[in-house]
Amino acid sequence: MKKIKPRNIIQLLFFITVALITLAKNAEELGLSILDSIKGVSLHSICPFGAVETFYTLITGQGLIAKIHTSSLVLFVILVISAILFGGAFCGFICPLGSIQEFVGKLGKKLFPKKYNNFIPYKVDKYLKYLRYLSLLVIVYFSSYSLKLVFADYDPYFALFNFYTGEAAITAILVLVVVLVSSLFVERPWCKYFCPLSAILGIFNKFRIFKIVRNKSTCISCKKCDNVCPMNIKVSEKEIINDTNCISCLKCTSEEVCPIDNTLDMKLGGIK
Amino acid sequence: MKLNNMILSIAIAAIFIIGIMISDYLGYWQTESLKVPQKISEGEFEGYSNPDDIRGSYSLGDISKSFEINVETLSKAYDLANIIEDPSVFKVNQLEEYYVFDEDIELGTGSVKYFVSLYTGIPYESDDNVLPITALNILKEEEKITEELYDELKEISIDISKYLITENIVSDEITEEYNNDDEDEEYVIKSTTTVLEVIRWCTSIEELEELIGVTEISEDDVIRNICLDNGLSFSEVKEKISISLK
Repeated sequence: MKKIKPRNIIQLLFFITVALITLAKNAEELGLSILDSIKGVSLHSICPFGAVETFYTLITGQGLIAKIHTSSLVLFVILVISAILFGGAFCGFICPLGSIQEFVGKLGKKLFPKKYNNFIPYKVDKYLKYLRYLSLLVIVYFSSYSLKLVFADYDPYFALFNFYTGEAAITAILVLVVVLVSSLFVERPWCKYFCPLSAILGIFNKFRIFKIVRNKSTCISCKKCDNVCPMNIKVSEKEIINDTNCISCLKCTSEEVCPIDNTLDMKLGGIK
Repeated sequence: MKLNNMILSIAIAAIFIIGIMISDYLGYWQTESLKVPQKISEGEFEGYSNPDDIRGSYSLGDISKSFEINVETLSKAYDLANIIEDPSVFKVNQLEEYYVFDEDIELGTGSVKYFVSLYTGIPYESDDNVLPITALNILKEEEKITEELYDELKEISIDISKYLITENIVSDEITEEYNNDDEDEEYVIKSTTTVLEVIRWCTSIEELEELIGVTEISEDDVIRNICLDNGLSFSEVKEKISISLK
């Protein structure tokens, strides 16, 4: 039996936590008293991206956009601290939308063992990844302009936990369905091509404190790290894996797929 | 220093959990609205609270703080002064449940936004504004509007005292204070009461259809909406259901 990794346990715990919080909120609105200890907490209030959406209104003294609370700002600060330390580890360890895509992807891997995550040619893939920045700019612009959470109507994360409540817009549910179906062919398609939060976190990969480092002298260039990377990063061609798409899942490291000890590891400052 | 899967898992989870705990301790962890409307960012009224951002969950006390209008004035405007002991905790969205109209009129957040706008002089634009005559009189008495505007608005204002549903208690606190009869309170039909809720009070959907005189209703339908859609008087339907439940 395959050993469950600590990362997967953390993913599951955070997924369940968010699901329970949403359930409690909806139960509260229906007048049911279940999970009273976490009632009153909405999905928007525990999403760090809310801080980005309300950034402009906040710095211009207009206060927070409707439905955004200070908890979103707190989470964003924590997120930045974690990103300074570990880059995009939030995406790889905590984000429930990333986790569900990864879970669906496991089925995709069984359906297309060789072709999975390689349907999109590398040349196209490397440009598509810039869509995240466009997505970020569009969302921030329209949220600031309208003073509303315009993205909520298209947000697959919101739809994932609210599809049964009637609160999620049909467009958001459709985006979620497209993302999940795409996950059967491409690993983490939302994270890779559209997620505005991963666009921000990815920047921290350039100067994070704990870096994933490849030891060139012991590397046998087997390219197992390239093949296993969910974000299609050419790990074997880098010494420090500072690609803006890296989610620090550690799949490429010597602890997991790299066959040579002490060759690919996450280290403090990238020191060998 | 090398990080493996286990250490990174614990570290990332700990950063979030401890971070939330610290922010909670420091009072920054707020998952509910601070009930402060946004400020106007440009123009003549830059820096003023925006009446358009008043939300249904705001209490009269919240509005009072942001717009410097006495709670007493607000409660008088909506004729709540005599029936609510502490109007400062009365939420704007509760108006819709207090005042139920047979016609397609809704007295709620939009009305309060409009009143606040007229009272403070801060602009707010909307086509669908209903003002109670009580609110209009305050605006006139305190010289917040011109005679011409008063006459104009008087034509479309409402005498809300005719529509006050005093038994329609909407919040737990108010329920405790104004309705000590727990059994009656249990069967109160509010403007948000659904078919499912009524069915739970010992009746069936068929009996309810017969009582209302409308067929093919579903459990999720709101009683008040059924009445509006079928041209029925909500007050009469409410009474019929209440009698049948007793």
